[in-house]
Amino acid sequence: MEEIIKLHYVYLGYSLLAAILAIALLKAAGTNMQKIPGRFQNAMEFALDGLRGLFSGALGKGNEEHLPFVMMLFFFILISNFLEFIPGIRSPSAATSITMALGVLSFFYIQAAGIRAHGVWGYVKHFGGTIMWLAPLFFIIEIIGELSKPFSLGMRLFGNVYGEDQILVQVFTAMGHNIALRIGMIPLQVLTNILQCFTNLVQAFIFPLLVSAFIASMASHSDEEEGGHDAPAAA
Amino acid sequence: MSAAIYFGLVALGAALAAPLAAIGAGIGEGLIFAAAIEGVARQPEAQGRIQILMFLTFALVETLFILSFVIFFMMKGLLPTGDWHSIAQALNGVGH
Repeated sequence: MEEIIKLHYVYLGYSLLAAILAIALLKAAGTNMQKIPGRFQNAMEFALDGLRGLFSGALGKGNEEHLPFVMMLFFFILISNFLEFIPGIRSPSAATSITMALGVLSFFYIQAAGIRAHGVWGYVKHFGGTIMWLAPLFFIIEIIGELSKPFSLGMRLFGNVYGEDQILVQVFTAMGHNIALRIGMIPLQVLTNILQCFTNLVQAFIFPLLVSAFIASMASHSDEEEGGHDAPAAA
Repeated sequence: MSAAIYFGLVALGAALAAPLAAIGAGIGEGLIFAAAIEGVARQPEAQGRIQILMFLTFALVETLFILSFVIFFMMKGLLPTGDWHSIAQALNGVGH
């Protein structure tokens, strides 16, 4: 048990490294901005513009204030997913502590966004559903649904990154303990790394997109209460 | 005797978890991508929006398969590696 706790301290250190790298990257993108952008600034402008359009579309009309949190999630998860390509460093997303912490953080943020938009009584009434006399049943269903959201968010990210890591380990140890055969499996690992790039990007995409869809369903449900708890309003 | 049954059942669970989940995931993802491709074929200007929805729903369906993948690795950790020492360790509940 102590080894597991020490292992999670190691992952905590790596996540701190990921946070520092993310801050440094965005800071470097924001300083010395010229009118005619160089390559790095051009790439960052393209990425940020596309992401802003995507997340604003998912967040809905009046929810622009939640955009910094969602972008923070995207960049932190992106950098911490790609951190495993550095030899000797493990990705912090492969630890349940980091990913479930992100899930719980997003959960509290979503509830706070709902309370800020509707007030406490409006937020509680939101769980009641539309039909009055079915309210107790709706309460239970909605609350269970809400509580399952941070779990599914965290486990999705953890499962994808940890699973890909384990695929790499299995590929490496597939031929037994012979060291020459193990080194010979490294080209196969390169192919798996390419698949990992795709999975990293998609998972870094999906987490903030789902969080913004949840924020949209919590913070602004004026007339429509369709079952669109997951559907983004893609711009 | 019961140790053999225990290891046998854990190994069976580990072997059957991912393939059975892959059946459902494969069918679901096939439906998603078929709908996305048909949508783009009907209206090529909508490709950007359809692509976003496609990736979103793909990740949602893939999650269920990934959860069973994690269960596979959890069960694989409970299995011994073949020699008596690791069998004793697995029976004592050490493996992590």
